[in-house]
Amino acid sequence: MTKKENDKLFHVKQSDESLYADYDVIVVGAGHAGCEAALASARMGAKTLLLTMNIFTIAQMSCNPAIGGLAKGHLVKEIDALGGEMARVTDKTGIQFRMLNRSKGPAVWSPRAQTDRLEYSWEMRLALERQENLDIKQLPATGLVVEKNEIRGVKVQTGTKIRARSVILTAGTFLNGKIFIGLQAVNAGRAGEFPSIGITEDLIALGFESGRLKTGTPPRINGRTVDFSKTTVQPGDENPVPFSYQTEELDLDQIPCYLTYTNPETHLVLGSGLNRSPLYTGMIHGVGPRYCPSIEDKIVRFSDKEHHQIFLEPEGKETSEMYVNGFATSLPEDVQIKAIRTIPGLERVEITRLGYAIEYDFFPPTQLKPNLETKIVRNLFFAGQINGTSGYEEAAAQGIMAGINAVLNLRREDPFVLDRSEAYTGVLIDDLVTKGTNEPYRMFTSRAEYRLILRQDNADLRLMEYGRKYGLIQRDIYQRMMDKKVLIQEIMDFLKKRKVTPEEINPVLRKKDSRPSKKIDSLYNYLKRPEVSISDLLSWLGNFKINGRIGREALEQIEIDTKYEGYIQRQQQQVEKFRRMENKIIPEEFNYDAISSLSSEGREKLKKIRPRSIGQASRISGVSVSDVSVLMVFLSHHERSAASAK
Amino acid sequence: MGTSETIAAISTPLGTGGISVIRISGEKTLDILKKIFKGRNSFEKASSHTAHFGTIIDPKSGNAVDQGVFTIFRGPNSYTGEDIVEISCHGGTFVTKMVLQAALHAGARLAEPGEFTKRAFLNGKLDLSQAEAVADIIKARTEKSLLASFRQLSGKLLKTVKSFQKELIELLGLLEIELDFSEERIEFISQEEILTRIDSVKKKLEQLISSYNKGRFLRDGVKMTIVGRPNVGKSSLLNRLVGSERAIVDSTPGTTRDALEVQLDIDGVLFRIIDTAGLRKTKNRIEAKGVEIAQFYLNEADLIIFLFDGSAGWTKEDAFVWEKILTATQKSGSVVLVVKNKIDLLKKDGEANLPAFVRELLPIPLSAKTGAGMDTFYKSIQDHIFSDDRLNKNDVILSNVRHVEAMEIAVSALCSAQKSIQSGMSQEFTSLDVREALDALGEIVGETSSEDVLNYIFESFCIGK
Repeated sequence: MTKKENDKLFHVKQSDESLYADYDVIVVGAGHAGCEAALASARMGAKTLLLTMNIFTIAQMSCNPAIGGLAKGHLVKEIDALGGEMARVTDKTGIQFRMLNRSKGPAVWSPRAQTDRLEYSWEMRLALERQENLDIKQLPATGLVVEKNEIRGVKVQTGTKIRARSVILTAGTFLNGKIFIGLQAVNAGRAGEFPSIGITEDLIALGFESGRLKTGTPPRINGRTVDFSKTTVQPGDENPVPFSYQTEELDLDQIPCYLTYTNPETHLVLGSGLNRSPLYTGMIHGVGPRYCPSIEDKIVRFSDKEHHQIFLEPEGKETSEMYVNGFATSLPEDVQIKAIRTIPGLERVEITRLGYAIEYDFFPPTQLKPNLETKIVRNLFFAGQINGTSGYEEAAAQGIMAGINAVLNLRREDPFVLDRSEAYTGVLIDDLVTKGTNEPYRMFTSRAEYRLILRQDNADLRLMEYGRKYGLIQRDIYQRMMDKKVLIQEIMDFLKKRKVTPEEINPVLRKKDSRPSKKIDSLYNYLKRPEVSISDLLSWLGNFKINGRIGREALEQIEIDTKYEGYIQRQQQQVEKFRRMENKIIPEEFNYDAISSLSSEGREKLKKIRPRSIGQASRISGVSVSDVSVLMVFLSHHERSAASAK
Repeated sequence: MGTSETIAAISTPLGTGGISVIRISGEKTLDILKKIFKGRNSFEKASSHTAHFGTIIDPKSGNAVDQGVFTIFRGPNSYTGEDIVEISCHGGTFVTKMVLQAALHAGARLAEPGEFTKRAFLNGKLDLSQAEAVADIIKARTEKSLLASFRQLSGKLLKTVKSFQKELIELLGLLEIELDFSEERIEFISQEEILTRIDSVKKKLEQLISSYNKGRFLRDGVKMTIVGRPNVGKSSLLNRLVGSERAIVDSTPGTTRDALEVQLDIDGVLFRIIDTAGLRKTKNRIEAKGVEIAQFYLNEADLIIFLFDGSAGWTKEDAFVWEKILTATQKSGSVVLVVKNKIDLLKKDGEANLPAFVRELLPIPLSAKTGAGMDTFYKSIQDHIFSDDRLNKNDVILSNVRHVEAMEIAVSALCSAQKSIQSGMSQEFTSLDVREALDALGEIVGETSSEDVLNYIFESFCIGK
């Protein structure tokens, strides 16, 4: 689309009476979801406004100062391949990088980085400020402007209405947020920040269903009061690998983390405070995440465990403040202080900020379409914790998808929906909109059925095409991915074609303690041997450009594709089977009431979820096998009558 | 439910007729044919609507199963609109099931009820106005078949398969926890332990599969014992069976010293029929020996035909025989078919003195002498042999092809799980195999989701920072 055409589509006009411009897209909330949503929307050419309650807490890491981790690292790489910002900012502000699960197969490796909390926020703010088409304003949103089930804009605290054709809500834990320390409860969106009031109420009035979730965070401590000699040092990787495809090399002095443990005395002190715990006295109604329990939860549920791991993570490069990972708690002040001082190395520690629990509103995400638009209000999108997820990465992945889809909607183009075989992002959103969630939802590799092909190392090959298509990926970055693709194919063809004699190959095999060969065979077949790696075959690859990042990544892909060929093929077959069902699209206006042979529970669920495809329909609980069969019959009827009508 | 999967099913009623037809439809029909067809002509270039004679091979065992005629219909000019092959083989339950089994081993999937019709509809081969009708049929059939398949699962079998499922979910949890929570301080499971756990489930599955009576009956035949007090017409019934047009009497009937054994092929099923001495309380030593032997064959039997004289009504001697049968079935779990003989002599009031429990067993009325009621008798034999409900009464036995197929897939997935561990692959590969096994079992008793695995992990381990 040319710029002129684009301008025509987006009828942006400045009205004289209005204090503010009319926007194409307003993003409410500048957390990890909001930042990606705003950037994606602005980069696609839509005039975008990002509203925040506090311009100094843009992209704030409310909990641990780290990005990535198992399965979450995959999400970050995917966001990057689609043209998002999270990976780039992490590379720029990271202070320690590790590739987790290196002892396992490549599919479950996942990058993680400790970052400088303040720098991260600052770097993201700069990226937003540099972005064309994007305004940032510190104005708390207090309501929505909706006409005839279509979004028209946002009400702000000053009473003004700002008009927009599309709104993305990324409110995090702020909607009616309430924090708890012991028996004290304060209304707050985060410690020391106001909650957001008004939006939930507007949504409920529009017919939305809401719920309450809970999460928590550990105390922060003064690092100068820690005796590190009693802890174990956890250094970063020797050769840190960047997150972003735009980062050529990482250049940094890494800062270590420290490991220590709780002990029975700690647990005794914690136990003595349970009668003043908001969790155990019933003050908190929201459901917390089982995978991220508070320390008091751990000692109650697993009382036979004498020790729990505690990681001390630096909050930044310069600051001496540290994050006490593993010690999330909402116990009263005195218990927190006494308990933490029973931990080796922390005997004299000073807490700078107390740990707390926070309860907030969320909207069960089955109220969304797969493009993250609400079913009730047109052009209103939700992303992040408002959908019941937890984690910066989960939020950011939804943010970029919501940003892209908000603009596609305005352009009247097809929505951008990733399926479960394409990306963790696809798994995440499909789970949310199809099944909903009862606890803060976190990504795990075990949620991804096709994880052998959804690797962190091939996110660019999987997704960059989309990023380019939507104009979020620069030409040079895209070109590099294409060059890599070609290189992989060329080397692959060569390895399969190039036959070597036993005399040629045996020195290599001997060096690797691999059984010597007696026949002429292709390099490819030798690479299949577990003992042989691609780096042993470099002397044959002199004609290829294998130096530099592209070469390195190409060789990595070749090695993985060769070594795990059998498994990858099996997974591909599963994917084909899955896609056949996914490609049977159900029209949005499909009338389930007209089919009398559906079971009544199936019909209710189908009407509520309104699945996009037969595949999605089959994943809804309550929709039976026979319902799906019946649906298929009617769908083909529907298609054929539509075709004959034309 | 992918429409391009290739499906197979027996399309003629089981156990009747001289020939049976097995129909295969889908993209891979011709590939499957390549694996199971051995004939003089190559069918690959054969034009549509042509028939070819050949041998049917089970690709798993490599053995010939039967000979038959293969008729090829190339899509879209076929019933379903896809490539179809119809294999006409010899009639008879076992042969037919073996041919179907061969097609399944070659990569076909067992068709769901009504699936051929559904495909025909989806491919535009049926009238559009039939949409509602077809949908209703599919609904009725799938629900009925699901119900039936659940009903076929005796309580014990259901429990057994669920327990396998539970073991595998735990195993998967133990594998996955190391992938998703490797940063946690948890003692992870050792490779030996994983191998042992896989082996244990695999062995149990294999045991169940081998219980599938098809295999046993095919190998050994169905051991059928005819019992009753003296003079109720046991020999007449045997003679009637031997003399029937449906039966092929083995050319060398084996005669045991104490009882007569006749081997008969009835409707494709091999029966080893033992005609015992009459059972009655006796003080005579030689006769007592005969009774002892009869008891032995009762214990051994797969199917007991209990005869009483309908014209004479129920007697004390019948009650004595019935007790012996009960003792035997409690041990062996064999099936009893109650036959009321001599209906040609039946007086109207003969019915009256039958004990209630005998009436409840719905005795088959027949006359071995005139042949009246024999059709019902043959049908009941088949029903009893293939009915899961009865066979599962005492022991967990598999008899549904669908269940066996699912368990075979599970076993082969577990085998490759073991291989992947032994070759030093990391857990995500083992997990792929274990998931495949779970999916297969899920087809019998209902699916498991990733959520089940995560639930197990969260319940059993202290996770989270």
